[in-house]
This record gives sequence, structure tokens and C-alpha cells, in this order.
Amino acid sequence: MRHDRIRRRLRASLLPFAAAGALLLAVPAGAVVNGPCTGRVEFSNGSVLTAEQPLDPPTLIPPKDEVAWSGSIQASFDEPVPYAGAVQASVGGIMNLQIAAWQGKSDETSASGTYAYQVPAFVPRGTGAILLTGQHAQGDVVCAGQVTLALEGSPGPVAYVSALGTAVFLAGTLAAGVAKGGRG
Amino acid sequence: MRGRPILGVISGFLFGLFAASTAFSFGAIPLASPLVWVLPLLGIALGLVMAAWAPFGRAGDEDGSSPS
Repeated sequence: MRHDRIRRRLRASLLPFAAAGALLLAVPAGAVVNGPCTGRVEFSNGSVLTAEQPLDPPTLIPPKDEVAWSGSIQASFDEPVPYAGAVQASVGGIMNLQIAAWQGKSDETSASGTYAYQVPAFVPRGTGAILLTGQHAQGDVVCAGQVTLALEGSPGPVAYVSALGTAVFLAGTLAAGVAKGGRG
Repeated sequence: MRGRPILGVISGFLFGLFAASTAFSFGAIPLASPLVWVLPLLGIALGLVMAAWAPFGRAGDEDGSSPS
């Protein structure tokens, strides 16, 4: 009887968490770009990132590549003005990891070039979407945007070690339910 | 609590963290999903519930009857 009561209370207390979890699985769709800016990045696998790129599905990019990029802002400056910008990856929707940042002084309103990158081996491939947010400000002009990326490839050792860790710590969590000293 | 709450909190947190990491690694959730931090909190809650409930390893109940 006591166990039935505990089970009923347990189910009732976990229901809101289950409902919240189902709602949180929803992924946003649609591009978010604010400000008079344009940008374009071309990857060797044919993927192209632009300001109009939708957030869903994520753009698949190679773990190692040399990309051609270009960007411009709709403004003109008579003299060099300060500029600054940054790109961050969103973790859990509440924390941002800065990936790149730049600053300086310029009167140029467009730039282009190539950029070689290599994602470190410890970063898992074939993961879920990674939401990147970026800003660029030059003089009074401010632009911001979002894009979702995913690394090409299939889950490697990191994913399987993670799955093993899940099983081990699930066992540990269940072991917390072993009564101390037999009788209470 | 008749179980092991410290073990429950630590194991539950790590269970949730690894579960979130596994879900992200296999493409089930995006990195920006709130589940990345919600799952470790749920893991802690599960560990505490298990420690409070302590359903395993009891030879008998307080009244001496066998566990069902």
C-alpha cells in the first residue's frame, strides 16, 4: 500500500517534467537576420551560407575546409570608424561559447577572401544542430544574425563513450536506491 | 533518507549530463536545446527520489514482512 502511494506521488511529480521535455524538443525554424548587412560563405561540399539561409534544416559543413567568404554593409563612411563583431555557439539556450571575435577601425564597407579551418578531432561529427549567433557593428550600423550548422560525418568514439557513460551513471543513480544497512 | 542521497545527486547529475551529450552526439537534440541543462537537473531529481524511496536491498519492511 505504501509503495503504491509512493508510486502515485512519483508519477504525479514527474508528469510536469515529461510535458516540459516534450515542449523543449521543438526546434525553431526560419532565418533571423537583423540590420543592413549581407554575407555569403561557400564550402567545398556545395553548401552555401547566406543571410537568407533557413535555420532548419541545419547546413552540413565539412570538418576541414577552405571557404570563400564575402560580406558587406549598406553604409558609407568618410573616414575610418571603429568596428567590432563576434560569433558564438549557443549551449542549452542559456550560455554562449565565443568562437571568433574581431575589431578594428576601417572605412571599408565590404570585404571578401578565403578562410581555412579545421574542427578539432575531439568535437563529435554527425551531431544535432549547432546554433551560431553573430553580430557586427561598424559606426552606427549594427547587424546580427543566426544560422544552424552540423558537422558532416557519423558519430564516432566520443558518441559511444558518451552512451557508455550514460549507462554507467544510470546504474549509479539506481544504486542510490539501495537501502543503507538493510532495514531502515 | 534510507538510500544514498550523495550518490544519487552525483550519479544523477552525471547521468543527465551524459544522456544530453549522447542525445546531441547522435543528432537527437540541437546543442542549443534547453534539454542540455534540463536533463542533468532531472537526473539529480531522479537520484534524490531513488535515495528517498530506496526500493532495493531491503531484507524486510519495518513490520518484518517480506518485500512485495
